[in-house]
Amino acid sequence: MQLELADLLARCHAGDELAWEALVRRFQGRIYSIAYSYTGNPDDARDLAQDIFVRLYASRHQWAAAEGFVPWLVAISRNLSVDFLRRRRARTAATEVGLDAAAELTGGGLDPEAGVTAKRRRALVWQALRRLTHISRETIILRDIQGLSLDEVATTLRIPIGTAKSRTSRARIELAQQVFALSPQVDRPAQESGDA
Amino acid sequence: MKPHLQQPSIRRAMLTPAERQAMASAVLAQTSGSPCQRALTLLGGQPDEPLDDQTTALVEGHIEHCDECRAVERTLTETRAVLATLAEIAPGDEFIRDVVAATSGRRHSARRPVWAGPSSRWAWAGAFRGRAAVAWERVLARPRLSLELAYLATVLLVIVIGNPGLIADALGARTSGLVAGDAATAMAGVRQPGVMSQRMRAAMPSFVERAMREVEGKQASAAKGWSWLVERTSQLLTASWDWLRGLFGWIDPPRANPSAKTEPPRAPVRASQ
Repeated sequence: MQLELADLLARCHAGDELAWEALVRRFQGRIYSIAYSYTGNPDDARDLAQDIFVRLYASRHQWAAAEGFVPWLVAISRNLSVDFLRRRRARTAATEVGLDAAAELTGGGLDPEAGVTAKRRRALVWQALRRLTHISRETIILRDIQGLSLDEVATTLRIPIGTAKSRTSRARIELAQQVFALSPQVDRPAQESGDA
Repeated sequence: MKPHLQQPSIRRAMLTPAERQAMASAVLAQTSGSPCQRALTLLGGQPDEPLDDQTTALVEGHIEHCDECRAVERTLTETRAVLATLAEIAPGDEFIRDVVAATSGRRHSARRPVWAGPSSRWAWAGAFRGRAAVAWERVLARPRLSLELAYLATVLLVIVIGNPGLIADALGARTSGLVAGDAATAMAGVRQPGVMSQRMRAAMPSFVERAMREVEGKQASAAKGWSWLVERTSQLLTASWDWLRGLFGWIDPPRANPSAKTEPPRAPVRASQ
């Protein structure tokens, strides 16, 4: 049985150690995913995710309410990730992730039965993400991976909503083109069907 | 096939699909340009901006005849499905243990600061300490902290170096004491004697006398060094001036004769009464 988020947050406020552990369990995958999206390196992502949780704990009396907690958490994680990259001076020089390294990540939580093809597709998308500009990558991370609304994306990035909309549209096309360019010929059903 | 299409001249006039596509592309290239960008923009905006039926039909019609856009559209659909699975990644089994271990120490210190004591009246001090720690962490996490510190240090250096009087004032008492050879002044310039030093002076006169002698010896050597430096500098200046004067044939301006200095008139001596 899983506690409601509001109850979990209230227990964390009260200093319940078990509630804090449950909260970490519930959001560790999401925060690690954000950290990995920005750093592109599993070790850096792990350190960054841990740092995000430690800071989260230190400011536990300033958390957002349950209904807006997840977007707030994503925005906080994004800001700390950007700070991390600034400190590392690596924001513009994204690390190139190999397919094998990216395939090692267990995505989707959590499905041990995930097939090799799905794993390979995920690795392909990670690699294509690393090839995007940081603006496009950030938009994809927030909107399509973490599922924030356009309003929330605009608020997090401090841009007008029209800009967020156009950036998202452009970023999706860029990503699709990168995936298409990276994918081997055998993974191109579009061309096969087009030729038929 | 209809009878009139069976005529050879009409069959020759019919275009194959590839020819029709080529002709459409040629017309578009000479008129509005390729619609691929427009189609891709509309496709990328999904599902944030739903298309009406007519636009959907137009986009589908374009995709049907454009291989590149069809490939991008299919990749877009597949990528969208994959992106949804990337929201969570398992960081490993030890991650939770590390996070809980990293936060457990903070938890105990945040509950009751060690120095704050058991009384609740010091709770404000604990809260202040916690806030100060958070603020300090934020300062350290500032991306331009080193640049800001360098700027601050530069400003301080400019203030100090731009006002030499500050240094002179700070060292004035000490310097004047050394030059004058007055041990008492020198010691006062270095440090005002406190109660403890007075007691020491009373309790250990021999120690104080020895210390005073050492100070006087240092002052004497310092004064000797200073006078040598002044004399040597003066000699160098005089020699360089003479060399320049000889080189360019300068003539010294007429100097006032010190022996011709007139003394101020004295008041007449009054006769003593």
